[in-house]
This record gives sequence, C-alpha cells and structure tokens, in this order.
Amino acid sequence: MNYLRTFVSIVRRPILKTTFNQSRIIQTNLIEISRRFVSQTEVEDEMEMFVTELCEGDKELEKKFRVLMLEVEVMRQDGRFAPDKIQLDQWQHLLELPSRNQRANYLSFLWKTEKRKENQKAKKEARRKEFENSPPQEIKEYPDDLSYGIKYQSLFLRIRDQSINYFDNYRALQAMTYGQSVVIDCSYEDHMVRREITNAAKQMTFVFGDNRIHKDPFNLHICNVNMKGEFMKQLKKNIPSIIEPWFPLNIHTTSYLDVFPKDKLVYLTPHCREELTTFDPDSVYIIGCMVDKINNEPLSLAKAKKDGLKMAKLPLDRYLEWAPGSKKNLNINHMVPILLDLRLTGDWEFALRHIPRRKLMETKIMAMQKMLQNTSFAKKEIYKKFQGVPRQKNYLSRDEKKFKSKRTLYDDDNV
Amino acid sequence: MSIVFKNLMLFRKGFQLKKSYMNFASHFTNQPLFNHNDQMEILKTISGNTNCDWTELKNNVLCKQGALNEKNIDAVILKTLVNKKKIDIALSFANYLKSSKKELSLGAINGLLNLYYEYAKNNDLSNEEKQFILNAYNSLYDKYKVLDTSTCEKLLHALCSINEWKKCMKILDDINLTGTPSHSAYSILVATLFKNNKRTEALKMSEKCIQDNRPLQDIAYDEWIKYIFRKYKDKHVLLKYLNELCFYISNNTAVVSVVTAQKLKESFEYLNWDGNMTEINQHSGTCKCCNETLDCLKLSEEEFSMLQKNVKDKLIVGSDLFLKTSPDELKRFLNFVDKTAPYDVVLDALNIAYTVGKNDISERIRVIGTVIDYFAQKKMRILLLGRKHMLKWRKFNFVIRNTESFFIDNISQDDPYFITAAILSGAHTDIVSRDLLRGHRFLMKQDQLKQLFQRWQWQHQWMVFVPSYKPVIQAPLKFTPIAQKNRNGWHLPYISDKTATLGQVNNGIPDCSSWLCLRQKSIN
Repeated sequence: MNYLRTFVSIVRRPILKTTFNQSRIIQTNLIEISRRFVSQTEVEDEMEMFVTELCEGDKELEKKFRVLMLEVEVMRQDGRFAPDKIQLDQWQHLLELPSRNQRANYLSFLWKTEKRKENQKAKKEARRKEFENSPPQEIKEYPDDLSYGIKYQSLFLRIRDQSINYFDNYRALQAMTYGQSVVIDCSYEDHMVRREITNAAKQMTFVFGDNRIHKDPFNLHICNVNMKGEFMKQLKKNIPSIIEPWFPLNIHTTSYLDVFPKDKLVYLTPHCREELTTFDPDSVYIIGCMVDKINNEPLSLAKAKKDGLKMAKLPLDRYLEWAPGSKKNLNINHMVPILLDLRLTGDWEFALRHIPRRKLMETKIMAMQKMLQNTSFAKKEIYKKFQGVPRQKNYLSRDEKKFKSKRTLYDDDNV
Repeated sequence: MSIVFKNLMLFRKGFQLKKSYMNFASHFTNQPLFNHNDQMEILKTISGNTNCDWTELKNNVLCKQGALNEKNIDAVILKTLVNKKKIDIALSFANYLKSSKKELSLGAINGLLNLYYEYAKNNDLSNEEKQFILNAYNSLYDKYKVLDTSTCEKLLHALCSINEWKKCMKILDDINLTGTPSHSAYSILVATLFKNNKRTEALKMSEKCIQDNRPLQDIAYDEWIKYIFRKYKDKHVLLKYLNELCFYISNNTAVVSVVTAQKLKESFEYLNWDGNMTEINQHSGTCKCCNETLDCLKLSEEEFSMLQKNVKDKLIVGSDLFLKTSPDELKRFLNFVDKTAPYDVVLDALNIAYTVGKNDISERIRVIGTVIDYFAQKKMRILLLGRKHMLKWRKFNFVIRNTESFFIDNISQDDPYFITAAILSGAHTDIVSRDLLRGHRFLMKQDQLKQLFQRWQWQHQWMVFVPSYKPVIQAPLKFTPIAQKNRNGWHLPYISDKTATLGQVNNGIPDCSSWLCLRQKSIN
C-alpha cells in the first residue's frame, strides 16, 4: 500500500517542482483549510442528511451505511487512499458495491481525482501569480491566427463558439431531414458496470460531435434508451441540452424495429462472419453502444440473432495488419467516423484511419525497436535485423495523429 | 508479423541458457522503482534506538511534502514498523501514544491491535496489553454499535491472541454484513478454537471456511494437530482423529503447504508410520516411494447424473441462449444425440485440426484422420463435432466417413456442444481436446459441480499434440490427483517451495513432484 502511495505522490511531484517555493505554501494551506475551517459538527450534520436521504428509514441499509462511513474513516486514518469529501451519489454507488476490494478501488479512484483537482488548483494559482508579475505577451496557437480585441485591429467579426455551435447544429439538422439514418443501440446498460457506462456515455458524446462536424453527417437515432438510467444521466451531464425538443439527435425509448423496416436493418457486430464489403446507402446500420472491458460475451451478436437481423463486420483483417492480442471491437466514436468517411469516399484504407494506431502491428514493431535501443544489453546483430524493418519516416506524435484523423472530417482539401 | 516472429526466434536462440534469458528479461521489467518519498524514507529508517523523541520525529515527517498528515501519521508509523518487523521500536511508540494526552484515533487503535497480534505470535502479552485489547473491544462497540471490516479484522486477530473466541463470533457476523472475512481471520479463529479445546465449534467453523471459499492456512492445521496430540494419548484414537483431519483435506480437494505437510509427516511418524516426501508418476499414477498406484475416484452414478442434469443448462443455455447458439440448433442437436448416442469418444474437431496451425488445410485433415484412425482401431464409436465451414475443406467428407458427425453454425460456439454431447451420451464417453476447459468449468457455478466436472475431465480428456510430424495422442489420467486414502495409508499433494519459484505450465493437474506418502509399517 505504501509503495502505491509513494508512487502516486511521486507522480504528482513534477507538477509542483517547477514553482517549488510557492506551491509548498499553497499545498499546506489547502490541507489546513479542509480541516480547520470545516468544523466537525458541520461534517456530521451533512452525513446525517445523507443518511436520511439515502436510507429513507430502511434500518438495514442505514446500518450498512454507517459501517461504510466508518470504513472510509478508518481508511483515511491509517493511511490508505480515501478522499476527504464524498458526494451523495458517490455514497450511493459505494452502497451498491458488493465487495470490499471494489469499494477500496473506487475510493482510491476518488482520492486520485481529488488530489488531481487540488494540484490543478495549486498549479493554476501559481501560474496566476507568475502571470501577474510578468509583462503581458500575446499567445498564438499558430503564427497566422487572428488576434481579436481593441488593440489588435482586425477587419473581421469575431466568430464566437456559440456561432460555431449553431453552424454545426445546422448541419446536423440538415442531416435529420436528408441524411442517411444510423442507429445506435443503447440496450446494453444492464451488462455494463458503472465505469463502463460512463465511458459509453462519453463515447456517445464524441459521436454526436464528430458526426455534426463532418461535411455529410448521418441522421443519428439512439434507440432502446432508458431515460432514467445511468447512461442517460451521464449523457445529460456531458450535453445538458440533449433533452430539449430542438436538439438535433433522435432519441427513442423504443426498439429500432419499431422505427425502421426490418429488411433495411444491418447490425454491425465484430463477432459475426460476414464482412461488409461495400457501403450500402439504403441500409440502416446499427451500432451497439457498449463498452465490453469486463463482460466479453458476444451480446450484440445474440441480439441480432434474436431479432433476426442481417449482420456484418468491418473487413479489418483485409486492410490492416493487427498486432497480436489487440481486440477488434471498436469504440462507437471510431465506428461512426469510419462509416462517415466510407460513405463519402468508398475507400476502406482511408476510412479505417480512425482505428487507434496502438492496435496495429507497426506500432508494436516500433515499440520493440525502441525498447531494444534503450537497453544496454549489447547484441548488435539482433538490432541490425530489427533495423531492417522499415520504419515510418514521418512519425507523428499522439496529438498530431489525433488532429490529423479529426481534420478530414470537415476539411475538403484532404479528401 | 512474421518478420518480428522470426527475429524473436533468432533472439531466443542466442540465449541457450535459460538463466541468462531470464536476466535479460528482467532487464526490461526491473526498471528502477520510484518507491522513495521523503516522508516514507524517514519512517523506514527509524533505527534501533527505542527511546527516540517521537514528537520531533513526527514533526520532521509532517513538514515534508507528501500524503501523510496529522490524521494518519500515527497509524502509518505503527504499520511501517510492524511491517518491517521492528516490534520493539513499535512497542516504545505504542507507549508514547498511550502516554500522550490526546484521545487515540480509530486508525491508531487499529495499528496498536495489529501490533499486539504480531507481538503475541512469539511472546506473551502483559496484563496491561491484554486489558487494552479488551477495553478497545468494549469502547469501540459502545461508541459505534457496528464496526467496519478492517477494524473488525484487527480486533478479531487481537482477541484471538488473548483467546477471547466468544467475542470473535460476534465480530465475524459484523464482517459478513459488508463482505467476506479474510483467509487469515477464519484460520486464526479456527486455530484459537482448537487451542481452547472447542472441537465441535472449530469443525463447524472450518466447514464455513469452505463455503466461503477460504481454505485454511498453516496456523489452523498446526493447532488442529496440536489439539489432537494434547487431548488423546492412545495411538488408535490418535490415528482416528488424524484421519479425520486428512479426510477434511481430501473431501475439499485442498492442497496443503509444505509446512503443514511436514507437520503431518511428523505426527504420523510418531504413530510408527512411514512418512516420505515423494513424487507421483504422472503417466501411471504410481507413488515412487511405495510403488502403489493411486486410485481413480470414479464418479458415482448419482454424481454423474447430477452432472448430466446440469450440463446443458449451465454450458449451452446459460444466461441467454442466443449468446452461444440458437433454439433451433439446440433442438436439432438434442434430436441428433437422442438418435445416435451413445458414443465412446467425442472429438472437438476444430481444436484438433488447429493444433497444426491455421495455414495448411491438408495438414489439418491429416491430423484429424490420424486421430480418427487411432480410435477406430480400438473399435470405438466416434462422434465428430465441428462447425459447418469445415465441410468446405477438401476431402473432409472422406475422412469422416467412419464417424458420426454433427456440425453447428459458424457463428455458434462448439465447445459447449461437444462437452454436452459427451456427458449426455453416458458415463463411459471420453472427449478429445487440447483445451483445458477452465472457462466451462467456471460456468458450472456451484463448487460441488465444478469439482465433479474437474474429476470427470481428468478421467475422460484425451489430448492431441503435434510436436513434430507425427501427432501424439495423450491418454487421460489414470488416477485422480487429489488427497486420498487407500488400504495402507494416505497420499496427499502439497505445494512445494520449488513450484512457487520455478513456475510451470498450469495444465490443471496438481504438481506431481510434491506429494506426501504416509504408510502404515507392515507388521512382520
């Protein structure tokens, strides 16, 4: 346990190192605040409120809740990871977790988040102080960026984020009238743990964003949605306006079978045998919205089989060389851009760019070469053999790759 | 892919000696660990000086940057000292804590309880310390009514070291409220019960351990043996109770540690038995020491019918029939089995075919052909189970002409089907597959079913390997590798030190090189 603790404290050390003197003062101040100014009774009052709110008079549950409160307190006191403050919904999740290990893992996750926030705050504060002392200088991301404001005279009106948002939404709305439909099936909530549901909701958010910045977006339908479920709750957190009637996304609580004719539907699942060779603009493709880190049963295959739908998978092996051990199930925020680009260009090589490079053989080879170079174990001949493998010349950093793969979604020049 | 693979092979050939290869591997893994931080560094270097100034030390640590604060420092100091086995220094810190005027925090109390438990392992606790444990128990329960798991565990360990087992029973209930008690909590409780001569309670508790999947640790076995020798003096009675202990081990298919094995050996030697650490020949099942063959514990009819009743529902249907197959296919399969059963052997055709890799179809056909011929020569009735795409393989229909065969859809799973076919067909049916079937065993859910399935698998699973051109067909185990008694004595497996360090392929069979052979000396 102590190793972990020390490790984490090392991880966060470099952040503080740069402005050592200032940050130390701030750091201790923060701890002081959390203990001195929040009086003991106030904390207890809050906890009592939680008890009444969560247990609603259920004696057994209240007993369990009090035990958990004690468990967390003991963890804080004997140096294990537990956050100082825990919110109501986090307590609720803790109550639902069945085993001690799961609770400990969740608490250490919360602890890390808390510490990260504390550090960010300290860093921000330090930067602010530094900024106050230094003369103002202009910050440009690219050399030809326009600078707005009174002093920087510019001919053009400033385009605000809100306008860009309107513009993108307009495209999505256009797609809702004229675009091809794509279904995202959200019926797998029961098969995912909370962490996975959160990830799925995040991916769904990306899907919406990536879709509407593409120059020919899909008409997205999300089906089988449980409006009261955790997934929708997270999605609402990410996109607050999602339930507004004007929002350019179709949300159905019913099945896709009620919305579309059955013979048009094609379920995209990695577990089936048929490959999708050409993109059919008449079909309605269904993508299962699930994160299967823990449960890797072929759920989408079973669903399609049960509904008697056509199935297809992407021809991944045909176009890419996969690293051994990497899974061929893709995130929905990779699937949708792949389909978008495929429809636009009909070029598989081009569309499959959206697959994360870490899953491919070339990355594994590169990692191997790097590892062999860094070791002091001299075996020159072996290196030579490895050097023989062609290395990609224009090796891009991770951010550059991300930018490149996103850019083509809305940029005409690259198509 | 192939280039890298070739290079890797080259790479490995360069290192003939396994040791040098391991050194090389550790070169990559043993990156310098970032496990030093100023605060912990100070705590770790607290040295032999038992009367150091604790207040100063604490202030020293707290002024450094890190995760320790006033709230948790006492508990962490205690924990580090106890983990580093610096019990004397920890005791002096405990005195400092108790003499300081501040009220002890829950974490610090936990730390103290843990310290006294560790201390009591080798020394006797003073009255004052015993009183502290009792007081902690009373005051904590007064204050909180129900306690959390980690406090409960610490309290239970400490109370066991002063033999207050009655209080422990109540604590155990508290733990069950939010989790399962740990292995050591159960074991120490069983040990304490035996220490206090409460045999019935101890046996009840050890059954509960098995239900909660918490096999006993050395300390419990140790106290169990000590109890037997304390209580009884007559050799026949002693033997009876030692046998009871061994039956407990064998009924639960437990594998004891080397320490316990040694203790068992000594206690049986006391009764003038021969005790030897020995090896079992995996091929024939004979003990190298006494040359007797271990028994094959066949499943009784009742046990087998239980397996038969459960196998279809657990393996094929599961939570959702569509995950592995479809209702039509299941019906087709059941009709087929009704019509054609029984078989002598069921082949997992895809598994056998792919032992030679996925490249060459004719190779695959050759292996399947060899296996079929092998069993056909023995005049066995063969069922071949595969997927429909196999029918496209060239000459495949010719190869399987002498067998019954059933093919399932390409998108269905074949493993559950071949296991089910074999079990439904009858108790004598064997299977051929290189798969260890661990996932399917897990799906049996209940412990008893899992054990039955494992025993069935040991007795009926043939495996095919293709090390060179000629396939090797390996027969099932002739014996059951669990602790067992025969006419002359006991054979018990144990975990040797070697297995922990050497590492080997887990083939589902307990290590045959570390067994304990206990034999009654023949009366000549």
